[in-house]
Amino acid sequence: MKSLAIMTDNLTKHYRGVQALTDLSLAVEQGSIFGFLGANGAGKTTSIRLLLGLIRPTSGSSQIFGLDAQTAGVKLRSQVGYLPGELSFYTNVSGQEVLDMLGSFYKSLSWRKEACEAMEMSEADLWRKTREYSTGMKQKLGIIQAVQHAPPLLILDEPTRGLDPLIQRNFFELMERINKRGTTIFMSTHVLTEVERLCANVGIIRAGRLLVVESVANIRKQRFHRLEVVFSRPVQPPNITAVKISLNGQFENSYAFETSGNLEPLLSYLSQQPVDSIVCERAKLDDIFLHYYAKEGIESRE
Amino acid sequence: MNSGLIYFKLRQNYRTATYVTLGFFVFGLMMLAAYNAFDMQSMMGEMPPGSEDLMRAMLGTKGVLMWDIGTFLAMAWRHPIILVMLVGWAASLGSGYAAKEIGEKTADLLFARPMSRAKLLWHDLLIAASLLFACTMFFSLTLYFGAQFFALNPPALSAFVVAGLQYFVFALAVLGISYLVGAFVRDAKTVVATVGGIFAAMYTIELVGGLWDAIEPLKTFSLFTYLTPHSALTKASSAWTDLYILLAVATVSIGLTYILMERRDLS
Repeated sequence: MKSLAIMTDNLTKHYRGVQALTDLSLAVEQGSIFGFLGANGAGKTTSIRLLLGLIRPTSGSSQIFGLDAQTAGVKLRSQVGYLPGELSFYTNVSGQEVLDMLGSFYKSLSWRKEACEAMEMSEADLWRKTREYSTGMKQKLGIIQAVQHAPPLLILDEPTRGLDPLIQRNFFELMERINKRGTTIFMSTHVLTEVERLCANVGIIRAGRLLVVESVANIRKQRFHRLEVVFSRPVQPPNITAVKISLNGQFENSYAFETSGNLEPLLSYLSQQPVDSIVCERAKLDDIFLHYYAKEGIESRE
Repeated sequence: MNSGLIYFKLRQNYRTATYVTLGFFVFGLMMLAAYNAFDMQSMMGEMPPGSEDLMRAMLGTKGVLMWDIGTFLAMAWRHPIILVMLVGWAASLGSGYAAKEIGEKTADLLFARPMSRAKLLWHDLLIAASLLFACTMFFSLTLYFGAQFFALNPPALSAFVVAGLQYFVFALAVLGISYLVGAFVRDAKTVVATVGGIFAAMYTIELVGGLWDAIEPLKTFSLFTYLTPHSALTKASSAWTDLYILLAVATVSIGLTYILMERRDLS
């Protein structure tokens, strides 16, 4: 087994009676890309702040490369590049000055140029005052500052927020290149497709509790689909057990089919029917959560 | 020592520091020009009864007032406008370490760097104290050389240096208390407002205590009681005692900030 980049043991954080995070036990292997998936307010940012020692746990512990967040915070943070979720910069200075100040804590800034190129931040952009930056530019600057010192671990909180599709693609490519050099990437997001694009494993968190750690391949297999189909004439609905069927009241002869996992039986049925149109919705985060909640419920009953 | 961080903090604060210092400079010169232009001693002699008590309370002194240049300069140091500027600026500097970073959501960026909170505090303190020292000493020297320029026969330069040092340590105490307040709150405005309120209360105690004997014992709790440029200019030994008391307040509040910040959640 590879050594661990991140390990948490029953990490818990309560704020004045609010349970922000409960018993988070997580292990992320070195060199991997790990997705931390959860809706807003699920506890992702709290987990990250605990990992970095920015906030103190109510109980439990966390380690990065074997270094405890509470007792070896300075050494631990020298190993990390961090993009905060609530990103904000000092306003009366330029982007370049922000990068220089934040980079002054490290020996080398060997990846800055590459990161600037990937994020398409020119010299002129960098020398503008950060108060003139758009949300997307701030995010790009945030990514550059996290990457510039070639950290062995990148912790990114909602990294693609505000990025246009082209820059998002550049970002994913940059992450893949960096990962190939051995950097572990821990990425929190609420966008399922981002996790699918980059990550090998994913942890799903909801209401401060880790529901499951799963490989992306498995999530894909169990993936939820919703198909809205309009038929040209009345049809007999199929008798497939894994498919939930409901009448879609918007159109005549219209049904909504909901299923997870293998789509083949449903597609086979549809291929024999007079289909007018099909709309296939991508899985929503809530659907994934519901799936795992249901699973968790079954396991707990067992 | 991180020179990048020091440069950055200087870059953030130099503009305000320049404006405040210029304000002090202009104020000092105008006060001296006024003293030079009018016969202050006879003006003071014509003041209505009771005014001298008020002047004594504002100066924080007792006994018979000699309306000489030393007394007048002490008025410049303890003038409410200058004190408001100094307290406001020092409080604003003190809010910059944690409260402002949290309020403006930059704390996640700065405190995630490989530097302990204590070291970050020392860096902040170094810059803030340097700026306060430069400003307060410049004000003292402005008063000395201004008085020389107008041939007002000021006390020796060393007395002005002591008065300047005392003024600096008073500002350092404001800074320390601001750090301490900042260790509890989440934005800079709250720090400045709270510290402003604390020092307004202290000034009221100082002023009323100077006029009303029943309140006088409370003056012990007002830091303005230990801001005694008049003693410094007359080379009284109490000027150093007052300076050490202010220094102790600054040290204790900064020390407490250090302890509190080690345990504080930065979010």
